[in-house]
Amino acid sequence: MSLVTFSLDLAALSIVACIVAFLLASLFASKFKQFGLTGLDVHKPDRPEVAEMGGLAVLAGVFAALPLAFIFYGSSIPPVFVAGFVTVVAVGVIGILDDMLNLRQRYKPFLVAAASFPLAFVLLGRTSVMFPLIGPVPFGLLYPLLVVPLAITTSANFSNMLAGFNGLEVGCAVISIATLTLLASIRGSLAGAMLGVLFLGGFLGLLALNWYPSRIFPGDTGTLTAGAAIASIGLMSQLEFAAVMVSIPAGLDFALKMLSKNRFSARSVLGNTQVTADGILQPPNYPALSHAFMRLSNLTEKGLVDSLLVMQCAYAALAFVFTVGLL
Amino acid sequence: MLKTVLITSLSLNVFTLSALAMYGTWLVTSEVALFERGIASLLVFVATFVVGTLLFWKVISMLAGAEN
Repeated sequence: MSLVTFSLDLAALSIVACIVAFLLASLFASKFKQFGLTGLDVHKPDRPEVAEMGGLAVLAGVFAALPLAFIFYGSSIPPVFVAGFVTVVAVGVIGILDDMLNLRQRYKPFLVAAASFPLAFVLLGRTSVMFPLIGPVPFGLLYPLLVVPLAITTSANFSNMLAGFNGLEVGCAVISIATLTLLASIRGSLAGAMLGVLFLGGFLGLLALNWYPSRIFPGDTGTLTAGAAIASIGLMSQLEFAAVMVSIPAGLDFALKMLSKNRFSARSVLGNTQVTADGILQPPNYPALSHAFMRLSNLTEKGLVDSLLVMQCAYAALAFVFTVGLL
Repeated sequence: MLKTVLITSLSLNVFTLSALAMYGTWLVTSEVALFERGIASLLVFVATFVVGTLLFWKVISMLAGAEN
């Protein structure tokens, strides 16, 4: 298969996922309000009600584009792609359940780890993780049994935590997935590139409506799906360290929140970010990455999201340069 | 924009320090089996990242205090 056909096929998958996700997100933005699936946009002075669970549009967009993948690639579709796809969708379904039933925090990591079983099963034969400068480190059976579930669970929870501002979580997902998709293509991993373009298209479609001022939030359906997609592309394409690098801003946010005395209840104990009448954000008194930006500058919500996305781009660029340099 | 660059640079320092500590551990444990070397290096990465995060927040708090 020539490089151009390969690229056009992948672009077609992405465009279909993007258009379907955009159209469905537009529909959900109005319909979900009627069903009461809404959340308050707490970082605006007037706190408008906005539709939740936009991640469902991403999943639907990806499913709509999936038949094209079978038409273009047929029997040459690698089993690891199917396993990665099933894993990400299963994590997305856990997100849907969480959005609708408000699952207990303590159950979510175990459910997400269980959802990673298909990918772990297909990667049973793989034993080592490739580190820059160090090379391959053998983990034996721990790779499929521990590294895969741990990576999916950690990434899903990280992207669920660095969230809550218009366009932030979906923007970060787009930057991270685009970087890993490009790296997977350069590495020659068809499975990783296919999964990447599908979810990149889906999240781009959602981003158009999630960007400031949001008409729809991704919800846990969107954030858990994004984290699972990032980890899955990394694992499928043996780009584990690149996946870690694009997750550093979220990892830093998680580590900062763990420094707080009220680790898992800081928001309920110390309150939300306050907004002044002119839209300037004022952080509560506990560590978080977004609070670091708010403490040093008088930022509006849009300014904060722009700053965090610039930081995400810096890590994505670093991951790209580091990985390409070592390939 | 300047503050964004400052915070991003600080966080990059945390990451670079952690990566260097991981690589240093890898180098000084050359006589240990590969698996143990890998685990030790990863643990050092995580530990340095946590300490670096703590320092990151101290610097942010200090700068915020100086601004006010």
